[in-house]
Amino acid sequence: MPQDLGNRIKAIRERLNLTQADLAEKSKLASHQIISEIERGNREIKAFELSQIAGALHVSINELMAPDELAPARVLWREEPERAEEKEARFLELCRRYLNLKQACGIQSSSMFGGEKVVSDYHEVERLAEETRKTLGLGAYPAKELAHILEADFDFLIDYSDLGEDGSAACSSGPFGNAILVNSREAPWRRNYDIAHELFHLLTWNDAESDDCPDKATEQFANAFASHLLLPADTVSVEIDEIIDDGKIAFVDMIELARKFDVSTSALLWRLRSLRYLAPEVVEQVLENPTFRSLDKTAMTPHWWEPPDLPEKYVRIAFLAYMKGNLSKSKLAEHLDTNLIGVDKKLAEYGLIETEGLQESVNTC
Amino acid sequence: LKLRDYKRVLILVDASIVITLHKISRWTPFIQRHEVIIPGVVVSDEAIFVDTGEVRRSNIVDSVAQALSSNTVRRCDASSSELAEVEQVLDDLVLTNIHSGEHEGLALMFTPALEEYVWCCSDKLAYKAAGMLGLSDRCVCLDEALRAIGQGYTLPHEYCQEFMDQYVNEGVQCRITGLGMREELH
Repeated sequence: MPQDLGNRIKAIRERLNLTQADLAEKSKLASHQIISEIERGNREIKAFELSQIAGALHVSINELMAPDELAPARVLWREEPERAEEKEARFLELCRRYLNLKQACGIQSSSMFGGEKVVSDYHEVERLAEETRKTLGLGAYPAKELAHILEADFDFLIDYSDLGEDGSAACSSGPFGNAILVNSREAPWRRNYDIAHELFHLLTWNDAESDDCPDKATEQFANAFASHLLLPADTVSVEIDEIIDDGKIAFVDMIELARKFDVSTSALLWRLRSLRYLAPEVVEQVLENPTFRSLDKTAMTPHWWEPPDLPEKYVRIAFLAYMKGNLSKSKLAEHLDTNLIGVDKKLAEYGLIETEGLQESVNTC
Repeated sequence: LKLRDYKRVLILVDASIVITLHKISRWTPFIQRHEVIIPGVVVSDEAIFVDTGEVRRSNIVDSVAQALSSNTVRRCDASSSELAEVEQVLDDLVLTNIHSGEHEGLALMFTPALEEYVWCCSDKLAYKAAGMLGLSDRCVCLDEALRAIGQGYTLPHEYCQEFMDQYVNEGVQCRITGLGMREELH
């Protein structure tokens, strides 16, 4: 048992690119020699050490102790951030916890997206975007509702985390369903675009290469998909025809239109290029124009929507599992990144209050 | 189990009990009159007892440390093999959803040195797991443990007998039906 456990700890540590010293520090253990002894099976590991090591490796104790090695799910990154392995491990931990919580509540995964779509050219990408917009019921201004509809109606898990300056987004698909990781540092319209971009990868998941980063052509398809999905040709045409005056579009109108669609001005401009309203060199000139950039910046709202620390549906389902008696309160606290003292306060942030009677039920006929 | 029949009771407590005893100012009489053990996972993670909204150091961390250093309270650590014994009985869905401190506390209940101890918590799943593990006659609620030493206090229902009985009995039923138990053992 100690040797098997040691091997599993070592395998996960190496997957996360951590040295024994890194793991000792993250686990708050006195020295890397303890980790070395544990990994070699020379030391009977205590429960508190196991708990701290499991926490540092983003797995649960019983995942560490399970005889079958934890098969890592694939994560596709748009741009890998610094220390991607750790961010990925945290993301996948959230996905696995979400699956466990659904099982604890007796909820089946119900995503209609199986990742079976295949595209080979831009026409197919456009068709896929059209089809997806209809399936999701996104309406004329898709970005406004995209995240909400994916979460509420299609069982997507959308996690907003700080991925630093470099990371943009990632996605994964597995027994937990479909999950998207978005950089919380990005502006709201960038996040909308990222979600649409990642949606493409999830729709074509089975067709993707096994690499963690998709190739350039696939990324271009994903960008085109996001553009077609969030900026439907018919609605954009109607809107743009209204603001064209004497063959020109005013900067302010363009910026206002981007806000209306909840996309970046850059995304709108490139869409106008693909719809042949603007020449490519004009798009580049506008994007580099200092007046345009300044207007764009000043037109931004001072208070963006700040995403919650944890996905709202994840918190709600954790609360439900707890109320049903299928999740302990200490574990609920751990799932919400807090402790027993802070758990009620954390739940209140999501509008959830533990009240007696929530478990009352009636007999059916 | 009627604790009032005993002069001195041996109790294994989880984090929620430690916190509540401090909240209601019953920690000192409780550890003086009962023989108390806290699982190592609970003791080793100071963050469990720190109010994240407060800047100052938690008084619970200090008082637990003091009680441990004066041997008024004992710390016990389970080994991975002892944890594995619990894993052999409960299925993944139960194990994944209890805290590692609760997992350790339940594992400690099976160590021969602690066979006279009773398990005290305030959690539905932790009580249920105790019932599933065949520990139904070794559970006590905080209300009873306090009244046994003349320190009664009006506590929320999760610290009372009815609550404990309900969930321990659910665990006993699971033990009978096999629900939540590892298939090979049932």
